[in-house]
Amino acid sequence: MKPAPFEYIAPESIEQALAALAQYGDEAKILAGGQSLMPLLNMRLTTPGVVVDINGLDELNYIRQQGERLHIGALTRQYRLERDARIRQTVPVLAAATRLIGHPSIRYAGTIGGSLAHADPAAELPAAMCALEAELTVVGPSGSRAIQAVDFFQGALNADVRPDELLTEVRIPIRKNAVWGVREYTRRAGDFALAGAIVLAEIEADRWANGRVVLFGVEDRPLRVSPAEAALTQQALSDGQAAGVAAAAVNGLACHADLHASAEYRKQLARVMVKRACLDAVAMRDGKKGQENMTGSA
Amino acid sequence: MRPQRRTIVTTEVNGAPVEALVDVRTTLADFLREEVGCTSVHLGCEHGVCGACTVLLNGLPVRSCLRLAAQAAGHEITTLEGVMQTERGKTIGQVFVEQFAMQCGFCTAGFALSLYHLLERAPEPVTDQDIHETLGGHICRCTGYVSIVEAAKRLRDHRG
Amino acid sequence: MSQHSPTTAPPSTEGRRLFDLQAQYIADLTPLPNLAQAAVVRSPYAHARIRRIDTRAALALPGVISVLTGREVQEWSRPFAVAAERPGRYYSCALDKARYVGEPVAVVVATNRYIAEDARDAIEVEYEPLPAVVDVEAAMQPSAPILHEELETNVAIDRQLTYGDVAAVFSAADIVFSQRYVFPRYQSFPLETYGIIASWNPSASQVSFWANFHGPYSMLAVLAGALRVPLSKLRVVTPPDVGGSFGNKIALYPYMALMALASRKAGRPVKWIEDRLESLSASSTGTDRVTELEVAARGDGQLLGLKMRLMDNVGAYIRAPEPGCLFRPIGNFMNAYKIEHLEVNALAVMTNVCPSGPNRGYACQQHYFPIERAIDELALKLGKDPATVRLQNLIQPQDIPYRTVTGGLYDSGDYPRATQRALELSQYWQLRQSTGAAAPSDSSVWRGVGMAVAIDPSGSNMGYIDVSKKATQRRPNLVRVGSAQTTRIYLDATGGIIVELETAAHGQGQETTAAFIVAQALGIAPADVTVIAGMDTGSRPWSVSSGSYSSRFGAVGASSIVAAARRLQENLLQAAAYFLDSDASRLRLRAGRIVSLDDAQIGLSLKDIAARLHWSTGTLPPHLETATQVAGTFVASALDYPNERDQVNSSAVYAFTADVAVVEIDKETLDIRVTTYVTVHDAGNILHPQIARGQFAGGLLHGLAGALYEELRYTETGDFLTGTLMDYLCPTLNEMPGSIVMDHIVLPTPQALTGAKGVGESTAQTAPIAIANAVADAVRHLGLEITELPLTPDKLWQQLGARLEREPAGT
Repeated sequence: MKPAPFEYIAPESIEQALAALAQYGDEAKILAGGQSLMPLLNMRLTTPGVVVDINGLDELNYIRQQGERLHIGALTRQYRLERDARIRQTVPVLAAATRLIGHPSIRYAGTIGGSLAHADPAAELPAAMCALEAELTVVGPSGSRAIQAVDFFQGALNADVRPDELLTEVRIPIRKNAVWGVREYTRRAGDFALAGAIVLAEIEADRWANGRVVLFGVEDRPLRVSPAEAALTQQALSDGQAAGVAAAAVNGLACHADLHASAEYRKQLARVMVKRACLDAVAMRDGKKGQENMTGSA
Repeated sequence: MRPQRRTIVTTEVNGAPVEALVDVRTTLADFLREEVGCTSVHLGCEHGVCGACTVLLNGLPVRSCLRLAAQAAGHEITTLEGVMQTERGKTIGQVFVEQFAMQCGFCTAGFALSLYHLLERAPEPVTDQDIHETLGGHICRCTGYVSIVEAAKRLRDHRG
Repeated sequence: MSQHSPTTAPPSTEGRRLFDLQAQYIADLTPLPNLAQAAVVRSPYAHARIRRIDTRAALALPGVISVLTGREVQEWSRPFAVAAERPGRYYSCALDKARYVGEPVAVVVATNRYIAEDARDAIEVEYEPLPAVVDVEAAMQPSAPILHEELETNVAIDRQLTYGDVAAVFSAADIVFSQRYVFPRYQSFPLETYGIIASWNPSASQVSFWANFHGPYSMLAVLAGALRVPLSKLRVVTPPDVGGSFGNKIALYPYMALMALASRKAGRPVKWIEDRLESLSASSTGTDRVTELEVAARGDGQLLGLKMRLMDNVGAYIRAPEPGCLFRPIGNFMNAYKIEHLEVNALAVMTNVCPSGPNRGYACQQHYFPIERAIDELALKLGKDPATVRLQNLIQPQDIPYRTVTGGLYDSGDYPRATQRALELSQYWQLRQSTGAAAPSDSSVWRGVGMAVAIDPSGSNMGYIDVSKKATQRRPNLVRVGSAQTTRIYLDATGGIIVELETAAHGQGQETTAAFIVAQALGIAPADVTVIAGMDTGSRPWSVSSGSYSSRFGAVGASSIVAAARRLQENLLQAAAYFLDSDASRLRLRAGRIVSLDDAQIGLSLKDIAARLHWSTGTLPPHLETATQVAGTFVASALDYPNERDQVNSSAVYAFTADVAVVEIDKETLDIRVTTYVTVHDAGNILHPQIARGQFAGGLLHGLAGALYEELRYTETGDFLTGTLMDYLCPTLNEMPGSIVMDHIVLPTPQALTGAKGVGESTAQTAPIAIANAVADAVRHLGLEITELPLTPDKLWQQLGARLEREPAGT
């Protein structure tokens, strides 16, 4: 179980990385944290001609607040997302979602950009980006372009990054008075979610505003579900109404089936995860739960 | 800059400088075992699930099967061989041996390294949940984890 | 036999070696120069004719040494022997046809593993896919694809066994019911995979192996036969450290044959370390079984008789030690119950999946699951508690020793007492008031409690396997009986003790235990005893039943240590008598000294005796010339050969386990959690308390894996679905029960010098059943029947989903 032969290049700047991608893009794979790519290489499920190791791009490793937005470099390790004080203050839901990724040793190695560019439909960070309405920057030979998170994920393992482009940054708007819940169901702690949900809203004069409901692990990409968001936003949400938001979230949902969950069961899980994430948000509003306790599987 | 099939890796393993010419596809796990002689690094699954190949990279536990040897350049790597040179490592070994926190021993180095990192770096207090999260990333088939958790708690309670 | 359960015991010798960085696993070894590395080309098809193999591109790669294909395998070896009426021809590699996904088709040897895998991928194999069958019942249909055409059937074994008067008790019964149960296919999952170094010596037809093989050493006879070399020309070295097995590595030998032939082809020694994907698809798995069970009972709950149709899916080839899954538990077919009437139809069926073999709790998991589930069903039908029905039917202590109708001799035990202990520790009767339908309806979970008991057979009698044949077809001149083990002990010139085991341990702590036993016998410190670990058939005594399997160390292996230690004691007394000019009967060994009963001033230390025995050999009388070297052999005494009525005492001793599981099922996600698990054992004398406890806890994890998480799954056409650890879900710490209670009672067996029974398989047999019974208790009131494992949320949903959608959870 050893990788097939490839060539290796470790650029030291974005320019060098782009040059390498320009030259070898079609046959190249970008190696960031390696937590998704390396298993595929070891199993020979992918056999790139060139591996472009971007771990030397220190310029992509940062967390900065600029005005009302948080800028996170693509090479920032996941464990920093769960621990960084600014993230925990300004977008704690990101810290909470990150904690659900795999195990500590995965998060010490894995990067935010790597997870986003890999675009696993069951992954937490793509869903978090959609819920947070993040904007992503991708640079290529003809300059950079900004993409909204919901548009970035185009299918299973399919993100809007061309072979000659590099994901460099995400920018997350910081919103006041946010309440949220993030829930996922896994067979074992640390597995990819069979279904997960992130619920996020702001409290404006006792009403819920700008409600966002994102499902993950259910279809081929993270899914913002507008009917549920509408249901969430119109309410002064209480426990009893969470079920209604959950029902709206899964209405008409066509979940995929796999070894561990049939489509119907997955739909049930999605419903329950939305409901529980809603209840977490309600509890947070009511001051019943602190944000520290807001992560949870199942 | 040109892509290469082979590269000279200059790194530091267990405090000692290492320099070797490797095929760039060589995993860090294979490099440590075959080139450096760190046979405590065990290959249990080679796809990042079991945790047996865990090493410390700049002090942080990572799966060495999910990393290329070529990526080791400029980093410090510590395996059980290195940890056992420290007082904390010796204490972990002693407590594991007394608690029978291993049976076949194949997964043990991974558990010990993750635990070493927890005891070394985690702020007080180290909770039961911290221990579960740390050890939960490792698979053991022999012990049912009971004795490993007992050893971890003993070490936590006498953390110095 | 006196009771023995030490409260303090020495720390782990094996663990010390690990943290001293001196561990030696097979992958760490380079015992020979010029070692090349192998990679195996495997069939991607469940069933396919092999039309052509083109190795040219592979051989052209730099670093590639050779490619072995079925052609040489056919020419250089024979099919492996197996105790089956219709065995099929099983070679180490597919010849003209591949019969499961992962079956070896060729072996590449190269200078390193990376290149070997490059060459593996460069080999072109032209396959002609054939229809495949994976379901055991489908494979018995006349229309099923046939795996081995020459047999004209997929049924390798079809035995009818009858004990007592089944027809009579079934017609006299107040209640008769039947149920079909499915036990799944899951794996031992040792963290260390198979590893082999093979070196073929061309001129002497001799082959040497270094391998993580641990017995039974009868498999080496099968291996030698297949390789067409005398057993004496086959040397197998097992390194001191083997990374677990739980039965899996018993089936290593076909790969040993394959690597021997690869070495023969390459002309140099070959090393092969199996990777995890290979291990999941093509090493060995537990046997999956469909059981049709009929139960006859009296209205008061008294069990009268059973009819069982056992349909074992043995995979593409029936491979020794199969059909052990059908016959290993013959003596304990009735578990711990006083049932005198049994009819068994035992079928081994070949299908297009990986060959099966032992998995912790071999055969007992499969056999007890339907029985213990059915007892719960019987209780329910009669309006009684399952615990009450069990207690009513258990063999009573005054009946022991008890001869089962199938030939087993239950040597010791108090099954009701152990069972009561488990019920008490779990607060079973209180729990019963709040589980299933009795649980509060506003709870977010359904709660259930379930129990299981198991006779835990330890030390397999080699003879049981001949029940696979009708009495008239057994070889009259080869009566296979027994379970034996030898230990050698040496006294060195300074009084040090060296113990040489032949058991080839793989995580059982045998070095620690052996040193403890010898130290206690001689009154010295365990640290003064050196145990030589690992195994070498070239330099140590062994028999075909040697090895570490069937939980046999405590009763058989350790008894041979006791036997050897007693010999050495006797020799020391004789030597001291000679040196002190005293009468041996007036001397005693105390705290490492021989002392005179008559005069406390007279005595000799072990060191003194050792020095004289070694340095004064020229003056010693003949009876002391070899006094420093002893061998102790233990042969289990009560074993017999199957008689014409198919009765046999299939194991040396019989331990007992009684467990209670408490589960909670989330009403919305259907997540199943074991909240409490209580396991009580009667393993006889406890040789080392922490090691025994570790075995119980490990057995629990193993059984929990089979109950809730792990299953090797195939599509109907034989494609393999669980090839990685993302799909095959080994439980981590976080899936273990929240509360684990382990306890034991001590009823020593008179059948072993140690008084110890087995601990190795223990809870692995009961956990799947206790958990299944607990889940059944939790959801019975919803109309669910639990008849197969593993229990997954998705499977519960298939039965409950419509209802949950109608009545949303929490209501």
